[in-house]
Formats: sequence, structure tokens, C-alpha cells
Amino acid sequence: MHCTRRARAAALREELTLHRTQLIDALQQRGLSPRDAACEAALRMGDETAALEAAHRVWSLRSLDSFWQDVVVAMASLRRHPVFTSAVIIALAGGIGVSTSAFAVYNALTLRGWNVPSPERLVSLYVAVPGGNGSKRDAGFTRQELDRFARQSRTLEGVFAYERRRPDGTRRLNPAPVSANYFEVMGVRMARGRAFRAADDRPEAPRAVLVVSDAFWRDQMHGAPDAIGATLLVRDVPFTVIGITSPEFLGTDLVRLDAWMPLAAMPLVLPNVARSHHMPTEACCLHLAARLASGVSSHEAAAELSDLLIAGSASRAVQRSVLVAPYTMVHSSGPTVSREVIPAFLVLAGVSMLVLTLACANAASLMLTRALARREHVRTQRLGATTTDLRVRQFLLESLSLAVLAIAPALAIAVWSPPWLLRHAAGVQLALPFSPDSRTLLVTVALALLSAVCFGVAPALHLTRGRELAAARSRLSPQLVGLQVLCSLTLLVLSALFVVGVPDGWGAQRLATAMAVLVALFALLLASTSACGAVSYGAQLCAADGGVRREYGASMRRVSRLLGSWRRHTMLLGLCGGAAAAAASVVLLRHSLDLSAPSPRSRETIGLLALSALATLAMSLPLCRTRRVPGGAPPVFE
Amino acid sequence: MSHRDTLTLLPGTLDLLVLKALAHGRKHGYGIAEYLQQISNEVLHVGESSLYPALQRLLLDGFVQAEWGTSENNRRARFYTLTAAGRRQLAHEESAFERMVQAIQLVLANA
Repeated sequence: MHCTRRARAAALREELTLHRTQLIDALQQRGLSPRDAACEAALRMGDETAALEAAHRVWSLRSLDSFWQDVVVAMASLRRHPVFTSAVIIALAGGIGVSTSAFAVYNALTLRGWNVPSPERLVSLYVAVPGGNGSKRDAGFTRQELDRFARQSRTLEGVFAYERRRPDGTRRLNPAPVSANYFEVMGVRMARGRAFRAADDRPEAPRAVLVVSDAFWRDQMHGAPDAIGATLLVRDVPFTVIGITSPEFLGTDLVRLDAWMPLAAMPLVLPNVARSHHMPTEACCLHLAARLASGVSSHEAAAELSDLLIAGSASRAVQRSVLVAPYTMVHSSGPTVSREVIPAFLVLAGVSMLVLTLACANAASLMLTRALARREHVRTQRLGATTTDLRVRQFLLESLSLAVLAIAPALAIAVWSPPWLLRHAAGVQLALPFSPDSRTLLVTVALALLSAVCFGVAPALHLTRGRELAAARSRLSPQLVGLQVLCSLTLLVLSALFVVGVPDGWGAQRLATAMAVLVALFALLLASTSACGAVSYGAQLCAADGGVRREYGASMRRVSRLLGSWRRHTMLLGLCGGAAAAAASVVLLRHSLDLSAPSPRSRETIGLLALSALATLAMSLPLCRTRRVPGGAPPVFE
Repeated sequence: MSHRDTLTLLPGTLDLLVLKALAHGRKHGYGIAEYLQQISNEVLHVGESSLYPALQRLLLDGFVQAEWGTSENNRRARFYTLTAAGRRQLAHEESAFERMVQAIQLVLANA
């Protein structure tokens, strides 16, 4: 008796080999040449893996209920086809990963708080000025108003002012001005030294002191143990370092911050900008953020602060009220940014959905190809469980398993790719939190399930209508190819427009180019997997169905015959081709993003995109050649 | 091939046919396929992807036994023999099939 499944499979394989040998002997006795006999036997017996799979099903199912039986069968069958499985997982992980990345950026910009204790209680404050068409946001508080909020508010645990800092594109030290209690209210620990004190931030007696970030201390000051008390020049004014923040705090700006100075020290380095802070005008520009006292809602805080504002501004002509919004990256950069971010992300979401559609079309195409190779297997099952339900169920379960397997790599892409792209292509270090949170996880899982439904249901629906798999394949193929070509070309054209249209400056052009080339690379990879799927489909047909030979063009027939014995390796070859194309694209990416050049070479990038478009088209063409499988084969036992 | 060209059998019939083929003595897989093809005047072509899983099922159910031996042309082959439980199962399935065929014939004759 056989103890292990491996021993059982080995025995079954030996039996199948004997079966084949005896069939060849019998055919030779009927007068066929050895070669023809071998070919005929191969045609009659079909795919050996189908028999093995069916036997595996028999072995693994005795002790399980039917749902887990199906799951076990799906997983076992995926494990036995590693190339197919990895091709689909790569396609799906890419598609889901790109979409989740887009969401992760949006999430980090607008939904998540900063990496500090209880970030949900941090809010930013705006002044709403009643305008002609509804109320309008206008960030602007005076220093006196800040002091009044700090003294009189009951709903706020602490309130601080901060100044937005625009990156000036140089490596010069550019500290962000903040009020003295900034670190205290945010809840940031000092790794060394001390935070600002009220005495550091008195307008009448400004002190030139700095708190630097942990990263700045390590990189620029080489982790010097005597950094506290060292003197650094800010626009040629000497400042003394008094503290170093804890490593996990990256600042409250889009770009990572190196250093902070008291608001009162601004006149020392920027005399013109600072003067306006003390004039009680509408145009004043102190940005305020606060930590709500625990249990206080933002509505209560807004009501109280509006009262405080009105009470103190009897002289002002316009009635103003305070708006309270979560303190996230978008809000810390000002209201205009949040107005621009949403439409930009709608575009990005559209593009990433296009990528996901492309991936799903690819996965559906590969699933159909594989299902065709398993026709025998499917028929066998109908003996036991009668209906096409079984096929549909297995189709759906397999696509679901594949989608679930794609979740982990997709999450990895979503976590690593946005910071990587921004650091290497745009040359900025972001302070945004990209680590996976529950929202990102939820979106990844939802997208995975959605794509499983998309690429599993279309083929399954064709099966429920009683069509043969081959017919479903031939009916769906042109549509899938059309979808793939359409999506790829749209993506490539969008990428090209992006490269041309983005204004230069702040690494945006470089970022656009990098994104365009990455999109092109992905399209190329997907097209190559589709193409190898198509070729291995042709090979399957040749091996499984004699009638198909008549239907195929001469060149395709020759290729298929050549690959007939290789059919399991064809997909591997295609994948290697795709990987080689991807590697070449990475080399070109590095070349076109030469960091020493002042701006990326748009002309070369667009050339590269055009080449990718041509390659995508060329690689999708073999799919168009697959035709309907004719009838007329000998009756098969069912 | 299209859906209509293939013969469909009632579920479970393959097991019955395999048991019947083994009723007259031990056979290996190829022998069973050959036997069914000859006896049925070349109507029943049993694909190996149906036959071997069916044999595995019968093995696990204890209806057949398998042992390795030497085939008629001196090759190592696995021979299947019917067990006592297999004979009982064969008798049971045969009578059930008879009843089913009679019922279908009644419907066909009167409809």
C-alpha cells in the first residue's frame, strides 16, 4: 500500500507510462510507423496531468466537506502549475499594487494623521470669512488671537502656530518656524537635549536656537555626540542646536523636515516675512493647529473658538468664524492643496483602475487557456458531480485563491513603491506615513476580491451557458485582447502626455517620467504573459486535438508542433522574455533619469513609450490568431 | 469538439463498467480500457484521465485490490482484482442499473 501521496502519484505515473507504451504497441501492430503511432497515442491520451489532477482530487477529498474539498483541490492544482500561478499572481499583484499605491498616497495625504501619540485629536484651525458665494476658507490668525486661544480655550489641550516651508531645491538648512509648544502639543519626545521653551519664543527677545531631526543629526552632523550646543548657520545667521527629535518623528510637512526654530526667531533670518505676523490685518498668516481635549468634538471646539474670535475682534468689519479640520498633510499645506489634490487623485484612481482592468483581462485570458488544457479533468468530474456548477465553482475558487495569494505582494508594492519612486525619481524625502494601516489593507482586499470576480466570473458565465471551454475561449479571446490593447495604449498615451504636460521644477517632471516608464514596463510585462499564454494555448490545441491542425495557419501550426512537447515550458519562456524586457526598461529608466542632468530627456522617454506601444501590440497579436476548435473528434467516454 | 458530439453516461456508470470488467479476472489499466472498447464494439473509449481516477476511487472504497506483477509482454504493471466487497457492490450496482434502464425504456416506449 502507498503511505504517501507522492508514492501514489509515482505509481500512477508508472501506470500511465505503461498505458501509453501498450497503446503505441497496439497501434504499431495495426501498421502505423513508430513515429505516427507515438503521435496518435499522444493525441488519444491527451494531457497526463489531467489524470493526475483527477486522482489527486480523489485522494485528498475523503475526509473533508465539500467546500474545503474544493479549496484543497484549487490550491493543489495551483501548486502543480507554478508557472501559470506565478504569471497570474504577478499580473494581479501589479494591478492591485498600483491601485493600492494610489490609495496609500491619498490615504497618507488626507486620511491619516502624523506619526505621533493619538493623532486623531490633532486638528488644524482656519478662519472662515463669509464671502459672496458661500463661506470660504482663509488661513490667517494673528499672534494675539493665538495667545487668546491658548489662554482662554477650554476645548483645546494646546494650540500652536507653524509656518509652511516650501522646499527651495537646495541642500541649505531651512528650518520650519513653529511656536514654542509645538513639540509638546504634538507629543514628540526629544531623543537628546530639550524642546523649545516659552522663553525661546518671545518676539521682543528672539533667541537663535534650533531643534534638529534625528535624520539630520545622523546624516549631516555624522551623529556627533556633542551636537547639543553646536552652532549651525541659517542664511548666514548662527543658530545653536538645543535638541534632537526622536527618530520616528519626520515633521508635519509633505517633505521631511530637518530643523525647527521658534517663530520669534524668524525676523533674524527673514525680516520681511515676519513683520506681517504682528499687524492686525486680514492678510496675516499664522497657521494654527491644536490638540483637542479628550472627549471634545471638533464641532464643540469650533463653536467655542468662533466665540473667542468674535469677542476679541469687535473692531473688525467682517464676521469671522473658526473651522476645525483634521490635521493631516493636505490641511497642513493649506486649503488650496486639498482642493487640488482630490481631482488629481480622481485622475490617478482612473489610471490605476485601467491598470487593474488590464491585469484582470490578462488573468482571465490565462485562466481560459489553462481551463482548456484541463478539459479532460473537467469531464471526469461530471461523472461524480453532475452539473456545470462544479466547473463554475472551481473556476471561481481558483480565481479567488489566486487573488488572495496576490494580496501580500500587492501590499508590498503599495508600501514600498510610493516612497521609493518619490525618493529616487523626484529626489524628495517625504514625511508621509506609508506603512500599511487598516484602510490600506481593506482597500487591497476589496480590490483583490473585485478582480477575482472580474477575471473569474466572465469565463464562468460562459460555462454556465453550456458552452465548451474552447468555444468560450475563442469567443472571449478577441474581446480580452481588444481590452488589453486598448488599456495598454491608453496608458501609454496618457504617460506620454504626462511627460510632456508636467511643468518642470521640484522633481515633478522626473517623477512623471519615472511613472510613465514604469507603466510602460508593466504593460510590456502583461503583454508578454498574454503572448506566451496564447502560444501555449496553440501548443495545447495541437497536442490535445487533431482537428485543430487543419484550422491553423501554416506558420502557427509549425510553431505549435515545435512547442507541443514543450507546452509546460512555453509560459516560462514567455515570462523570461517579459522579465528581460522589464530589466531593459529599468536600464533605460536609469538612463533617461540621469540624476546629473538638469531635467530628464523627454524625447528619449517618449521614444521608449512608443517602442513599448509597438511591442505591446506585437505581443498581443498571437492572441488574435486563436480560432474556434472544430468538432468531429472521436467520441470520448464520459 | 462540441458539446453534442460526446456521449454522456449516467453518473456512476464508469465504476460499474470497471467492476464488471474485473469480474472475469485480474486486469491492468490498459487491459480494462481495451476490454471495454472491444466488448462495446468500439463505442466506449475510456480516456485514461477518467479510468485511473475511477480505479483510485474503487481502491480507496475497498472494492478492488491492486498488486504489481508482470504483463503479458514482460512489463511491470499494476493488476487490479475484485474484492468480496467489490462483488457485492457490482451486484448491487447492476440491479440498480437494470431498474434504471427499464424505467427509461418504459418512458421511451410509452411517450
